[in-house]
Amino acid sequence: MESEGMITMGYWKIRGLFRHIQYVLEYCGAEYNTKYYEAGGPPDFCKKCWLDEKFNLGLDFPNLPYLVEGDFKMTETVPIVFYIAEKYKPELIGETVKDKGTIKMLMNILHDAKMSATMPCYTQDDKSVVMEAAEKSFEPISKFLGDKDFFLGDKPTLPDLYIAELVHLILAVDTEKTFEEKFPNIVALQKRVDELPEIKAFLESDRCPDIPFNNPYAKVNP
Amino acid sequence: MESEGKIKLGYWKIRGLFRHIQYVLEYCGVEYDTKYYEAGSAPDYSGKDWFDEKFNLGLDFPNLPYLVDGDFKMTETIPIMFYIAEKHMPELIGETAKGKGTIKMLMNIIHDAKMNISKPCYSQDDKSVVMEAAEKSFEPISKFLGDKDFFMGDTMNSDDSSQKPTLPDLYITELITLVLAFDTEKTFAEKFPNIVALQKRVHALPEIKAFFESDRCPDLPFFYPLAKLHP
Repeated sequence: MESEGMITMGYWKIRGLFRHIQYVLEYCGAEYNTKYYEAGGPPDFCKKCWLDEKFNLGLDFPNLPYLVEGDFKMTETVPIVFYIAEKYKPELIGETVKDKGTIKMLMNILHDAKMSATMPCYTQDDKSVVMEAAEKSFEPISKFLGDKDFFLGDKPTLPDLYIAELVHLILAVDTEKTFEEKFPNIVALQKRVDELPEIKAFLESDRCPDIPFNNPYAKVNP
Repeated sequence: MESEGKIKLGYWKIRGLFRHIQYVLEYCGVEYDTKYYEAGSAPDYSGKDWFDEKFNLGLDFPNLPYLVDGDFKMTETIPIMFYIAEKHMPELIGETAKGKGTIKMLMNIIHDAKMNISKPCYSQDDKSVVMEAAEKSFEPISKFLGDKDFFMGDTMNSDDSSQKPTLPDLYITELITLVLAFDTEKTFAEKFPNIVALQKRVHALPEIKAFFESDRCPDLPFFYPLAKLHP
């Protein structure tokens, strides 16, 4: 192995983008430590704990989340999950050129869906705006999944692991249960991923603490 | 080969995101056809040419640019570039796990830079706002490049220590050209000489030089006609 020792991840003390990454780490059986940064409470929501360290960690493009493995350091959420998968369980990223292309396209689409659903949580407090963004994003995603067990057929790949946490967030906001009615195959996929032995064990472990989805300064924070 | 026949790309009839992809296609020596979609006439530039076809092309996530390779279809700019490279010149995307990780991170960073620089051109008409976004984005990119010939020019990516272009070098070049077209005061060029040198170095690659001299590199605007600011 090129970088020895445990992976260290850094992120805010929220589910945010990190829980998505944990699904991949856990499914791959990769051992990791987490450095959690806690934003302060109202009214300032101080980010000093992160800002004090941000430019002193040797990161080329300082940001959260970050990954450190030995002398290797990187940022950017989707590249991080690809790095973990490529190193620990390469079948997650596709075995043919076409499948690799489809998986990369899906990861882009899902990450955009995550951002579309999350940004309105920070900029305004109307839950229906969040749900509207979610339904718009998931229309073609649900159609792509169809009646398959997983996005690429009968085995989980990276997009399946990545989407589960986003579905959790949406269902937590969706008090009217409209999303579940509209996209039952998506909710079934989330349940299927959560039932994978590695994920089930993770969800029951202390590596899966009960923390908020979003930072404290978000206006919508289920 | 899994998909036979020429690749087909679709995009607006502008440089936009497409010229970035052409650098990769051309460097990989891939033959391709382009379906250009017209924006339409002023003042609406409705893009009817595209919207009439958008949902009838069998694309799972209909958007521009798109790629069709036999029975395989995809959208999303960066995934498209990775697909082309992975199929035709896999060394462009990295040879070690660390190298691949770094290249994917760089591609994200460069794409964010492209978006941060282009978006203000559509929403307002103050060039200094664009240049400010460009300088902020390129600060860490220039630092990462340092005095290397190409982004992955050190030995992390390969046992071969010679300087080699990889996907981020091909992707960033068109963005540098856009910024320099705005940079009438030459402040960007003075601040980031290594970035300007990288752009020239990529332009001098034989495949890219030949591309510029071909009819596959027409003289088109950078942006969709609705943009408030064009260089």
